[in-house]
Amino acid sequence: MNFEAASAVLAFPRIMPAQRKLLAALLFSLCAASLAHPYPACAAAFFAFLLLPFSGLEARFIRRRLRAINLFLLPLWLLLPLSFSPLSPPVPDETILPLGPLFILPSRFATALLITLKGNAIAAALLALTGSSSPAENNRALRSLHVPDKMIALLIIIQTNLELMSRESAQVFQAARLRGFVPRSSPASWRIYARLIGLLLLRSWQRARRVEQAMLLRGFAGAFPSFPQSGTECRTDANACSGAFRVCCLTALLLAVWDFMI
Amino acid sequence: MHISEGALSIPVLAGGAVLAAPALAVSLRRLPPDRLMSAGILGAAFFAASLLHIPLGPGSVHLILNGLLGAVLGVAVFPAISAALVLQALLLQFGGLTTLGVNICIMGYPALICGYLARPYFQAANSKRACAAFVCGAGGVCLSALLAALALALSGEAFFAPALSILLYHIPIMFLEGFLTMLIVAYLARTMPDILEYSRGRREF
Repeated sequence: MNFEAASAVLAFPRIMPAQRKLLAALLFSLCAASLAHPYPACAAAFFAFLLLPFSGLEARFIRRRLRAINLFLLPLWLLLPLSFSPLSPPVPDETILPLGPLFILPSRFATALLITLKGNAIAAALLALTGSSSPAENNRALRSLHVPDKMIALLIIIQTNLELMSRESAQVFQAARLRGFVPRSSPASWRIYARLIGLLLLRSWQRARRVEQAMLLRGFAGAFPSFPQSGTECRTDANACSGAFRVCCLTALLLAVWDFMI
Repeated sequence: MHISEGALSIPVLAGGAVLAAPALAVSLRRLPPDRLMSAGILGAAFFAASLLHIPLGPGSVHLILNGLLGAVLGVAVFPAISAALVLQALLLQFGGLTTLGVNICIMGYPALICGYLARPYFQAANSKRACAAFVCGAGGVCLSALLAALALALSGEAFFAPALSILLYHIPIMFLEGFLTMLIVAYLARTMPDILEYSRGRREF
């Protein structure tokens, strides 16, 4: 294998066409979600984390994303071991610890670990594959996978306006704070929050009317024109990407088969 | 409010996808192309508003606003919620691709039901409108929490405690969201009643 081919294989999460990355991410997610044993889940997480350094994403960004995802999974570690009934422990002869009206089943920590491994594996694979595509590439990939035009148009509209609306929302609340509003847990404070949210909706409605009129005048009929593929995708080394796509899919399927055979 | 990847069993994931797909297909077909733009922008505004931290007790909570979103957008609420969940999965890795169907059901059906039931009363007298708005806001959260708890409980006995905790956690949010929805609807009815008429298609450009 020459140097160019080797570097293309290592950079495949960046240069693989977004459509293939989306398909690989979907297959990997499906296979990883179906895992029921810790060893295949551990291997899935290892494979997904292996993809991350090649995705071209900043390590700080990856850490921030994974931290947020694991914060969502943290409550499971606290709640899963709790049981309402001591009658059916998952492991025979398991020591059950009473905790007030509840019982702690230590074997359920294994379930929490399995979910954490699966959740992290899927999140890391999504981050490396779809997270390394631009929103425009993802939208084009969805279109090529026959997602309806109206859905793609909605994705584009929400994507382009969410940042704007978040900025507007921050402005509205900054103005309220400058007028002396201090957020508190009281009905008076909630009343002001309701008015500010109402104001945000009102502004967005006025903006929606203006944009809708302008788009209708330009002949908008429910679909945005699709622009040709970007340079990155055109430069793609076809063989390397095809091989990398197959490796992703094959690994996902092998993990599912391994889990099934345990 | 959505469930992350890895927790739900395969039959629950498949059931969620089967329940979400027809509702999404029908609502996309019934959504006129000329209203996509306003549906998208209003959807984006709702999602920006739902990211706000509202103080409640010693901490703060996020609003869900799915009831009000359903009342304003009508049938467009399903595609708007689905688009937001797809974006969260692809760009932020929250939720995920396999849980997409379940999460669309958790957020979409309560929004559609509460919006459909409450919308006719938004043009009524103040007291009726206030009651309808409160029920719409609180009901959206309540039904979503119930569906999320049901999805977890159906995934195995181990998830009974997390399912119950989801229900208990959302009780104060339910009342807060009901109260805020009541005030937001009153504000919109006073300043720009057109928004509350959006889903009926009565607009003057």
